[in-house]
Amino acid sequence: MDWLQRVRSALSGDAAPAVPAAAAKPTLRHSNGLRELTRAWQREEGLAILDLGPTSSANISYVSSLGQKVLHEDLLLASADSRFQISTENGPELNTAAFLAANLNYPADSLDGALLWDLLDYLPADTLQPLVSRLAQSFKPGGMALAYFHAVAEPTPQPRLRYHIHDAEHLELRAGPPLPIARALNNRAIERLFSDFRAIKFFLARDHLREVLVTK
Amino acid sequence: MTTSADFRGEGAVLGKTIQVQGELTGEEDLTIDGQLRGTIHLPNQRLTVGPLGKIQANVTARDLVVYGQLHGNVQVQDRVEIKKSGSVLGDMKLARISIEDGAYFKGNIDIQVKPAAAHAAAIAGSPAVASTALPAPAKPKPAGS
Repeated sequence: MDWLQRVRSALSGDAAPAVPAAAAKPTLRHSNGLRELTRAWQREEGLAILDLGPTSSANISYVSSLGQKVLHEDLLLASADSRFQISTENGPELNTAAFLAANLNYPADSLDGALLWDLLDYLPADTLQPLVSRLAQSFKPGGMALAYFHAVAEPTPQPRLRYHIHDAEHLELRAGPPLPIARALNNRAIERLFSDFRAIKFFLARDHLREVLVTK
Repeated sequence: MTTSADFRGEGAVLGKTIQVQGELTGEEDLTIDGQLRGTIHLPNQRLTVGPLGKIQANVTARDLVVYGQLHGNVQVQDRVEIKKSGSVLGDMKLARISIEDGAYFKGNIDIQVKPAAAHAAAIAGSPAVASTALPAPAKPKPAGS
């Protein structure tokens, strides 16, 4: 099954097997990155914060509760749209130019922050740099983004996590249908990816999820 | 997922074969399971977009529930609910929001109530969170704590 089919299958809920009951139980995870973001976002109201993950009432309401404006688009779901697909020898692939022509369109210097969650682990390699560069162009100086990267690419697809903000420094993680990550980026590759940002901070954790906080 | 077979609309109903183009106003709750293109003005009522509903309109309502597709800007006095099968493309002004896992939304959200109450209300009303046995959400700590 090619990348596009895997994404569509998982996002539509058609993927088999379904999430095991034990894995479907939500877990609470401490987040140093979220704590730092919250501190920054508490200093000023009216910031424009973009959430690029699956829709979450908790996240929308939490960011709003800090007095910020929420913008939302689920980029992984958007990437599975057949309009952005091109046929190749290896099967259908994402047409990055067409995808970015229709998504992530924000004026330059208009965003104060973004929540990427683990989006970048699931997108094709060729799409990452153009996407992050586009995001950087839309950011105001000082704008901060939080992203998660898996440290290990498991041989069997693991449930994709949904990240719901629980409070200023905790996330509630809920497992969705299995979806393999495209690759596990090392720290150097992540630094290169965010080279348009002036600062990058890594937070390591025992659950093989690295938190990365970048500042333009 | 709610299907058209088990979905029951509330108030007046525009059925799945109905297509409307133009301005719609009223003083009773309305369910649209057909197609509408134009504007919808139900400032004191609940609008429900059924599983088969396809709306391309700017919407003013007291409450909005979306099982189907809505493309347009939304101004709602109280609560917006986007169900698992629902999708909304547009900017929304509202007081409270509930979005089920699997729902789709693209746009801006402007929540127009006291901020802390909005988060607490959404946590309490969110199916994704309400089903868990987690402790009550803590109020964000002040900077520097």
